[in-house]
Amino acid sequence: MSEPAFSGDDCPASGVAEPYVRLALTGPLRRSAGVQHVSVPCNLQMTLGELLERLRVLCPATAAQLSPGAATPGGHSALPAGLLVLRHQQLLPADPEFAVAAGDQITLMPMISGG
Amino acid sequence: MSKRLLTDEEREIWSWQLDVEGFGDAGQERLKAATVLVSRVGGVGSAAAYELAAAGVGRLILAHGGLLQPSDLNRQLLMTHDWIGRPRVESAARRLKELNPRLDVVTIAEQITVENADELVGMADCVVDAAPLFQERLAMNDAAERLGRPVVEAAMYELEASLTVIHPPGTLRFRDLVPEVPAGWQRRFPVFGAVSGTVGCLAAMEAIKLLAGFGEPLFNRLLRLDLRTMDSRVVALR
Repeated sequence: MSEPAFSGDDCPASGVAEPYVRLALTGPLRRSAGVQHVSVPCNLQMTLGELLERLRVLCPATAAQLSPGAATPGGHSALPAGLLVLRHQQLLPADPEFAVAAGDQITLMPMISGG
Repeated sequence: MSKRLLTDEEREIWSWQLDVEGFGDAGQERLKAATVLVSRVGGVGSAAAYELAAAGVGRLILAHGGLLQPSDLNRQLLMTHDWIGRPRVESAARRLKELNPRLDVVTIAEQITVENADELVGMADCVVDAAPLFQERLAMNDAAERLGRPVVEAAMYELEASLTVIHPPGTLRFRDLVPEVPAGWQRRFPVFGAVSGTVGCLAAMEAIKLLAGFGEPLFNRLLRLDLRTMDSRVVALR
């Protein structure tokens, strides 16, 4: 396994007193980040696109996997191809503009293909 | 799905599973008449094919190119050490016939591509997708959607396993989940054979349910297992 991006269970943003979105990483995303959970500071709410951008900054090793997918017919950039996003176990729309809020528990679940 | 009547000997071989509620002679006859495409027969596909052969599926089409490498042997249970350097798919066919001599095995010594997907998927009643590359999964699912065949999507990564059944229009399309090849997916992935074997067996059970017409296949639901913690979740996809 490659060197973890951060030692310990969480990226450095965890443990801060301000409101945050709690991220659980799975599959190759977890492996790239080197941690399973990341706490992203969040004032009230942010979009999924902003959340992923914050994760890219906090855990740079995830950047390649989090690159946006092909643009939608409307010209908006999409979430990374094959990335399922769950909030409290509910699948969220693959829409970078979808809002998440402080206190949400979000799971990032990339589709996998190991055979 | 059509049926083929069982002989007395076949009824004896499968007698323990004939007792499964909702399966019975009718289910076994459907399996006997069925053809399943398994691509590939690596860690996941080997286990799936082995369980399908054991269960009495009549015909398996095995698609897998390349020659057996030493590094395949930690997970590809239809391969043996003495077969290193020889075609993987032939080893798989040999081992399956040892288990079930009645099985009709068709070997295709190549991977699924956009060029051959329609022909190979069209030969089968059901597909077990155990390919390590998203390009193959997309080609197989596109063909299956055109031809109206269900696909059991089985995959793993490290200690995680993933399983769902794709059969549009009743379910999402695979492309609804994976519109294009995801960035960063690498051909070589960390794997224990016990993990790939687990999801391979689960995939075989989904195929058996689809073919025999009983139980509740994972339509519009995705099972995700983490064997590191033994946590499991079923995600509603629609």
